[in-house]
Amino acid sequence: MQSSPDEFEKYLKQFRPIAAKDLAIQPAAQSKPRFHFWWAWAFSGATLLIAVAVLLKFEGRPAIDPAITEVPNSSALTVRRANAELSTGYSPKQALDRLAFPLKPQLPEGQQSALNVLGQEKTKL
Amino acid sequence: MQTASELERLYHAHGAALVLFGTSFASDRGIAQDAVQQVFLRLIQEGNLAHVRDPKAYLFASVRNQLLNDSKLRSRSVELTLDSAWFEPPERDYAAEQNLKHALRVLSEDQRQVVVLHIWGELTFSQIAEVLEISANTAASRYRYGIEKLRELMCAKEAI
Repeated sequence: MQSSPDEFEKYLKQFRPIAAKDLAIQPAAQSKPRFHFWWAWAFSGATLLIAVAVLLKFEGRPAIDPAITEVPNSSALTVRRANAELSTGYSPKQALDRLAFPLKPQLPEGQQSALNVLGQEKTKL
Repeated sequence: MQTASELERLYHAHGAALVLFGTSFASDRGIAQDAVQQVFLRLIQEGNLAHVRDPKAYLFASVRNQLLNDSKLRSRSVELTLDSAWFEPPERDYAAEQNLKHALRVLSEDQRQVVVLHIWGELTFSQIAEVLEISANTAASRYRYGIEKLRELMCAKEAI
């Protein structure tokens, strides 16, 4: 055994402490996923906002087929006519009035509207 | 802000000595290892060593405080266990390693802490004073008595 205190200290220092285990969470590995996590959330949020903005912008403006906007001459109440009336820029109320009360029923030459004829007759009950 | 790589460097530089220091007064090496991990993980998550004058002494003090808090929870029933290896002995002299561990166990807790901090932690007496909250003179005195007792114990064991 070493005689002097200095030699004994040197002897003791030859014993190396057993190395510590690796850290359970590596510092570098820990910060990276956090960064990606927040970026993923930000990207998702931005995408959602853009999608909502686009939907709001085009809401109530469906693509209109030009054939639909052309109001047919017929006064008959058809789906096509209703679509055409609603898409011509009138308010919904005006469009409904136009559908319900056609101003000039157009009939072929030589024909009369029975409703028109009966409306002109003076009948006594 | 202390970078993670800087903390990692500190862990690699002082981790072994910190665990040995913890083992020298905790009930076993596993508890000491956990305490050191807790200290570093806390520093990684929220820590900032920029304000610390002496990071090395601060780390040893943090491990000590961590273990003292743990010990309070366990009613401070600390009995040193010598099952696990504490050191890598020179020339694979495992008998000498056992001899050293037993001798360290015989020392008082105060002396053992100072000896471990000075020899294997490579702390000065001023740093030890900061870690253990004692004066530098007390640290030096405890070291002198401790190292002398250790030498006697190891010599006596070798003589048998």
